[in-house]
Amino acid sequence: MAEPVLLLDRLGKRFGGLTVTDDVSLAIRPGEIHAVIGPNGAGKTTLINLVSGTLRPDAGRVLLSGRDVTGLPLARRARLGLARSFQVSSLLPGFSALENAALAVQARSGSSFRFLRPAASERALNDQAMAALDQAGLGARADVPAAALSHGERRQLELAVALAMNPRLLLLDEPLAGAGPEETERLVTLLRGLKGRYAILLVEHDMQAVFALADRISVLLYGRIIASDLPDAIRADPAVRAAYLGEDA
Amino acid sequence: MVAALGVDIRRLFMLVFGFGAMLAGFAGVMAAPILSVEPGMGDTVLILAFVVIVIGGIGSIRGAFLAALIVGLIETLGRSLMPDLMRLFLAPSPARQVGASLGSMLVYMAMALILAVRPRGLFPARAG
Amino acid sequence: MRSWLGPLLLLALLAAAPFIGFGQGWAMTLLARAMILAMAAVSLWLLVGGAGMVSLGHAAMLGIGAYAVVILDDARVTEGLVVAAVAIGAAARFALLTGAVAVRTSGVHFIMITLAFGQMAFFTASSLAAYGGDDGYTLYARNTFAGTGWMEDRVAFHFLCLGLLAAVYIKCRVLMASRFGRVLRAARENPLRAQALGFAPYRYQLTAYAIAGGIGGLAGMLLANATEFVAPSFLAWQRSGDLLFMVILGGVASPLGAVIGALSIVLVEEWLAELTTHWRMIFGPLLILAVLFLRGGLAGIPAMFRRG
Repeated sequence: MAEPVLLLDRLGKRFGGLTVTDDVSLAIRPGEIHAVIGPNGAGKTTLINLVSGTLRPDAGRVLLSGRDVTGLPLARRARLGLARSFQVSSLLPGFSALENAALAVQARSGSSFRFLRPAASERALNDQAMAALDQAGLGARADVPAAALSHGERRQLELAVALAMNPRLLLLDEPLAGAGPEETERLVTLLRGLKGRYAILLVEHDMQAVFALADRISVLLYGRIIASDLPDAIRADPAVRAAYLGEDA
Repeated sequence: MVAALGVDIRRLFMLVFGFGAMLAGFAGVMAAPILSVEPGMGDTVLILAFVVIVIGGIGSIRGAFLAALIVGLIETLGRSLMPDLMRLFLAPSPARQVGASLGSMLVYMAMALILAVRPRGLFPARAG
Repeated sequence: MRSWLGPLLLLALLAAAPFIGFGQGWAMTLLARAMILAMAAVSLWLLVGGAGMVSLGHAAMLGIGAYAVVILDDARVTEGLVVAAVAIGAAARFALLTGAVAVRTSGVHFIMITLAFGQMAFFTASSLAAYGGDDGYTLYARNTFAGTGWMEDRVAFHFLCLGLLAAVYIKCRVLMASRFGRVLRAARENPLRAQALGFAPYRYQLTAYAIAGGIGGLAGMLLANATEFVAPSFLAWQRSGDLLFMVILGGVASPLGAVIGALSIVLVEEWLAELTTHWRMIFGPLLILAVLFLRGGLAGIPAMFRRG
């Protein structure tokens, strides 16, 4: 079996007396979309932050392609191939869509301690950035400042920036948050297009989207994983139904 | 957020600003008999007040009070003791000059040190 | 290309100044001082407008450059090229050392810690008994330039300052457009995003701080030569405040704003002081009005008219 791209090994995190991540273990194999679902307050965002490196765990390890990255900060993990999209779009508002993506390409191609040549005229950067924008269906809006994009377009740009990093692992924190029905449909089609090409950890509220996209689903409740299985098995799991899907199904 | 609770923020800020100015004016009344009165007399106080706030922790009244005592002590003791201390190593005339400068510098060294070690100040305001 | 129109116009104006009625000694001295401070303001702009780091200790960089002239003059080294190299190197090194601590903080804390280092430099300068202490140090003559004395020539010095100001301005713009500048801008707009892309802002911001320090040192070296006198007051925190004000009044959106801000403050100050001894009564309210009503700074005025 191929080495997992991401391996969480008995991760734990407490805030004061509250345990928000409790003994979480999880493996994501190359090309697999692994969804984490759970009701509000189950600790999904904390889990994302532990994986991406904005938080340090109190216990356990995070391994990226077999390498222990538990002690590394966000920027170092990013350079090792971890791309994260943010729940609330976190783009560079003054940068054009193209420049947002080009900066992501720049991050992985050569030193950024270059002081003379205008970065905007570097063909190699722009071409790859443009490819990422096209992949996210945003090619036509390349020159628009991120601040002027619509909400759905910003979600697409979040995705394009993550793709431009050419990552080993995509960490998508509620990529559909706040999107309308039409935008949701477009984004789900986009994500489906990535299936098999990237390892993806997907945290999402939209159950329909999750069951349509995920290869495996883990259910988080009070910081613990109560079930981790194929979508059909999760749908049938009585514990999951009782704890979570009950209100939804 | 607070505006949503029906507080007129502009007026509140205006009142707070005015009250702060009133307290500063009061301090001026107290200081005039002991210090020399001149147009630039606020310059050093202004900058030291900033130092006090940052050392104490922004938003913390207790911190500002304690930090004011600390800064005042460092400043006064530094200025009066440093020249004598320097005389142990230097000739009298340079000792006076170096000592005076070093005494004035102490406060800023303390601030840099405190900010480097405890960026939120010595007595940070409790969050929330 | 339109973004070069304003700067070119200003350059032409400054180049023509000695020949269109500003050729007298006092006017040339004033213009030289204005251009040198503009240079310092541009370097501060690199931090404030470029990297989003508001420093209240920039006068220290100027002061170090100025004291490099003094210390070398005392040691009988008066070759301008050598002095400039030392001034730039010393100021950049000071920026690197203090920045290593300061750049870890942000916001008000950054302002205060740069102020702290600036004050340390100030008090150090006033303790330098060998170089006049509080009273300052009068230079016997300006530095030579490649062995010649043409820095003593008013017109030559004018064009030296103008040329260096132009060079510094262009360097700043090139820098901000480069890969490095792009990372700086990203870290200013959204530090978390910059980190998520794999950039640790600290290294870039520290480098920018050192570059700005070096330019500040060069400006200080020129300032010492322009006034032929150096005192600890060069490093006073009020000076840092003045520089900051120049940048903000001019408009933080572009380095041109810093140039305009510096030139107008120095020139208007002088002009008002000539009209009346109570010039501060006019100058103060003028500055307050400018800050209240000119959101884009002086450099933003043309855009305001275009929008109508």
